Amino acid sequence: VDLSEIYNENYRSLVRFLYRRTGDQALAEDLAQEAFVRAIEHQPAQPRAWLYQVAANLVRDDFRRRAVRRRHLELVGDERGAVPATAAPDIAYQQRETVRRVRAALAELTPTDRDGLLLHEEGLSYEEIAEVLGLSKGSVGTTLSRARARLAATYEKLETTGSQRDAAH
Amino acid sequence: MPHIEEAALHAYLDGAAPPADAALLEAHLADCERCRARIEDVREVRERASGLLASLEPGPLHAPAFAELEARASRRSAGAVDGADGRRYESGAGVIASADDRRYESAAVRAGARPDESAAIRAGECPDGSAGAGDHSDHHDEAVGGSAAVVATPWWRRPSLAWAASLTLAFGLGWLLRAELGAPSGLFPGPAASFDRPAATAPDAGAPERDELPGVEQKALAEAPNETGAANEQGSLAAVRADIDAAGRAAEQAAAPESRIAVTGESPLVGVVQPPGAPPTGGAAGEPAAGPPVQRQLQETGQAGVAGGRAADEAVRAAQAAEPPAVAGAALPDAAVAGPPAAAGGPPAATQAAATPQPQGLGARAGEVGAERFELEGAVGAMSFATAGGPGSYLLVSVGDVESWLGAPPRRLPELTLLRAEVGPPPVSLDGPSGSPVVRLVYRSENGQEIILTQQLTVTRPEQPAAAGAERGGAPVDPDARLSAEAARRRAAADREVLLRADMAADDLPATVVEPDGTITYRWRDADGYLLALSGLVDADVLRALAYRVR
Repeated sequence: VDLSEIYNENYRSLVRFLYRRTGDQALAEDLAQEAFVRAIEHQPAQPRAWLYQVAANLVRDDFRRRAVRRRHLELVGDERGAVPATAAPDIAYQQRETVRRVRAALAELTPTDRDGLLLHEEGLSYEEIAEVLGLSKGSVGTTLSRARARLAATYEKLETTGSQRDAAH
Repeated sequence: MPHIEEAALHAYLDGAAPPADAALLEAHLADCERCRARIEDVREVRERASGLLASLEPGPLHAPAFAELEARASRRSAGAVDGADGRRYESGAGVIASADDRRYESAAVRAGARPDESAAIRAGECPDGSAGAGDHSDHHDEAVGGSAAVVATPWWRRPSLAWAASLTLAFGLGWLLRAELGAPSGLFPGPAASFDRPAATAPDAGAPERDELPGVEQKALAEAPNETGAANEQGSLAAVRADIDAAGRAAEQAAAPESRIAVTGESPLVGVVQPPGAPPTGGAAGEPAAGPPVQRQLQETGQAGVAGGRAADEAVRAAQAAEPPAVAGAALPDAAVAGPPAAAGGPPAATQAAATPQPQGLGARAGEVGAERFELEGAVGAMSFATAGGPGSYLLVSVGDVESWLGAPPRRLPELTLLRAEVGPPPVSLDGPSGSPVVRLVYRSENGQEIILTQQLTVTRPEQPAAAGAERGGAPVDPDARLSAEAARRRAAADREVLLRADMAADDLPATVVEPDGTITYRWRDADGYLLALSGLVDADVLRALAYRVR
């Protein structure tokens, strides 16, 4: 397996997956690079699914470690990286609100649903998703169907609440 | 005919339905109006979810060349061979392995497989034994006795073994540290470990000099803060200096008045002081100390004072309030006699202690960092060292002196205007050792904001062979030599413990943190062992972009 090719084709996708999971682009890049370094060390037979699996584990470990050692440090959780600095203020505000709500809606999903949805968005097949998440292939459709419906519903709810609050102001 | 399940509709729209199922489904859709409406709903939800996720798009990426990642992997595997980096690597892989094991185990259980079959499933994942997610078990095997053993071992035994190992490790480390510090832990908790750390960084060659004329060298070093002008009197660096000052003043009275000192080195802050009469090496640690009793007592006081951080602070306050010599000795009665028990009935404690590496002063240490490699990754990895000492505890230094403080060429941001350079004390925290001096380079960005590049060198110090102490002692069978070897062994054990903590702490990097005042700090470690932090009142992306330009 030519890992450099896998790297060229999948690095951005892996970073995006990790960014959507963590909300921190720098962390996402670092974890993605770490996953590739480990892939170089281990030379997995099915590198793509392996990479995402390692990346998902790295995120979990990272969150666990941060929860223990948070102390007075505060993780940058906002979406500075997502909004171009040149956007007009009101557009930037709208984008930030959307991003905030999408992230909140994602947080409402179970870890399996969230990972399944994000992995499918990165183009992983049902087989690969099943491998990464340890599911049977037949249950991936159920997972995705539940995750999509819940994401959309939670987002609508947050949007409604937000616009009511704006109207009250 | 029953209607189609929603999951099947999703799979169909995702193109994941098997061709036979897809044909059946299409046939059903042609007949069933209700399912046609449902598939439209599913299509809408599917597009809605994708559209929402599309709003979470990262900014411009930094993608290192693949060769760089390969180099990183080979560096790491090289480190694992000699044990420098192996712990971190193996612990990381272990975490993944355990996660994988659980996953495949549970998948196998769901599928109704017996334990040996689930092991086979894992083995099938990596047929050549070195590929696939299952190959982590190569590293995992050492801890749990093979992947098959993971399945065969009852679940309740693994946590209890882990607990037993943790407790054993904790007690062992506690005992080692207690022996290492040589002070009652109840009196000097926490910071004692922090202040003890520089002792391990001092070159061994310094010990005999101290044995001959302990006070003179300390006296000369104590003059350094006066020359720097705005010496702050707070923080650990000042505390250590002031402690040295107190001991130095005492020695001034006790030592022969005609003693002259020779200062070497360009900066007064990095001068290495050698008494002219002292032999360059040797100094026979086995011999009784030649100085008067007061000197010996002072040396003990100085060592214990540096080793016990809070004790040093007390000594400074007491010494400033009253006559230095008497009080400096009296303020630390416990520390002064806190050496190993054998010292009471045997040779003077100073003689024995001199065979172990001694703190030779911050300046000398900074100057010799290049030759004497040591590891101090822990403290700054775990904490926000950009603000550790507070704004008042940094000394303004000339840019030329920065290298001698850091012990190596400093990292720079060549594209920005350098405003000033500052040196701060090593950060002190309760859960880590103190580090080498922290250097801050303050830059001005294009829009006038101050960007601060904070850095600290973390390098690896080879372990002291236990025999080194015995050789210096002159006679390997001498009781002193055996004690020295024991001290070296304990020190090596403590160093390993510090490395262990450093590994744990280093996993936090890189990280972006927000200070209470809105300053954003981006911290990372580069390949040469520098711990670096960029901070400023600017966007996190700007900081990250700047971080890639640090040379």
